[in-house]
Amino acid sequence: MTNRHHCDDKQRLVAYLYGETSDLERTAFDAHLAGCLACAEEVEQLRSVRVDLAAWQPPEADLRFRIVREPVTTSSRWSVPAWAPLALAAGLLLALAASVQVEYGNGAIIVRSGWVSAGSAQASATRTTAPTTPGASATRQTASTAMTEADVRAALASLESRLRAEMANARPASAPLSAPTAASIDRVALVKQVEGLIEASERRQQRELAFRLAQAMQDVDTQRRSDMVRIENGLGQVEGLTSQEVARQSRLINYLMRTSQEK
Amino acid sequence: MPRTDEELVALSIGGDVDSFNQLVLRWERPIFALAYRVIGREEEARDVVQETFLRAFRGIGNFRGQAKFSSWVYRIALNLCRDWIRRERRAPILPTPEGVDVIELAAEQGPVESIEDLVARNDMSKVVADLMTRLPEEQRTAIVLKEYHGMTFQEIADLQGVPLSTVKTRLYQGLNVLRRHLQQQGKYDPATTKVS
Repeated sequence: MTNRHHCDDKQRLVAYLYGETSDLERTAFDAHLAGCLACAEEVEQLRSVRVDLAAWQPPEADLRFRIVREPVTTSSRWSVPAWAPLALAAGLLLALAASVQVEYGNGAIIVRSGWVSAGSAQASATRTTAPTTPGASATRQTASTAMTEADVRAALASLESRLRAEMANARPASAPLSAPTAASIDRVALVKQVEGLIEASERRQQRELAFRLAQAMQDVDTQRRSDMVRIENGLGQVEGLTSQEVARQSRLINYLMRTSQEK
Repeated sequence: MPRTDEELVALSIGGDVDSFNQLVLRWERPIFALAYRVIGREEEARDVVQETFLRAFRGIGNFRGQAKFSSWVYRIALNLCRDWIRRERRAPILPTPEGVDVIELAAEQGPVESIEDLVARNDMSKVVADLMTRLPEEQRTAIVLKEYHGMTFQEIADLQGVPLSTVKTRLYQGLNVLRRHLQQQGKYDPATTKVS
């Protein structure tokens, strides 16, 4: 092992620097350093670099990172089946088809929900686009009600004033803490009435949905039976044709055999 | 008597979150120090720590003890640091190709604050931090693992996925660049071989 070999072997130098050598290697390298000023200088400076590196300390970080177990959520008593969203969508479609009327004419559009009777239509009619000209004859072609325009206007005015009163009562900042007033009692009754109507609507929609589903299943079953009959008939026809063809070929073969024997 | 990492890992695999948090408490500072020194930014290093332990927590079920827990989280952290460095190409810490002379590269960037001025402010830590950012990521990581985490050449080779000889080469090249840079700044006097 020559001195030159030690000078070029930087991996051995690094191992010596970090003390990851065998005793034999360390002794050999010590001997080399004793006679090689360049390597001794390099090792000394690298040791100094290591001392300087020790000065580099990371900042005192406030880590506080912990894994937190999420609170166990109690499972709902009502499990939602997979078909629930579809059923809900179907129910909504049925409800829309069966219960909502949309009327339009002369720039006015009226959306009316079906669970309000025609007689109380003025309470639920919502004008989304009003005629722009006051006093213009906004005649509407409605088949479901015989109300005149004057009646509608009166009903709308009544509804507007009622809504304003409700909104004024609903403002929390201006709502004084007082005994229940006639307006609040009226509001409670109205809410109960609306809830009752919603419940009735939901029940009707559920019945309608069940009916539609039963009807659809019946239709599918009928169609399936019809298809089976058609398939059976088709198979029978194919079978019949095949038998006829086999018989025809048998006759042809027999004829050919007889003819050949006669010759 | 505190539990060993292996015991805490076994409890964590069994669903004991508190045991895993003890592992976090034990290793979060070394991981933070590693990430900070490799990527050079405190906030990002903190993010690396969080992500490292989150991944470790999610993957603890697959940890079979074929390596030490610390080696496992070190590997996760280093991978995250590497990903971060790749994303942050515009950051001052640029992975320089190993053949490039970073001293000349730095000299071309114009005058820098002299070493005396920095030392005069008694801030060798900043000097080293600044010099370390000039090293290629592989050399910097090898030096960090060796100098600050006391790993053996073999452990570094396993973590970096390179042969033992490559680790030694990276260490030598990195240390040599630092030495030359400090020498150029007047830290060492090559004429007398004395260390200032």
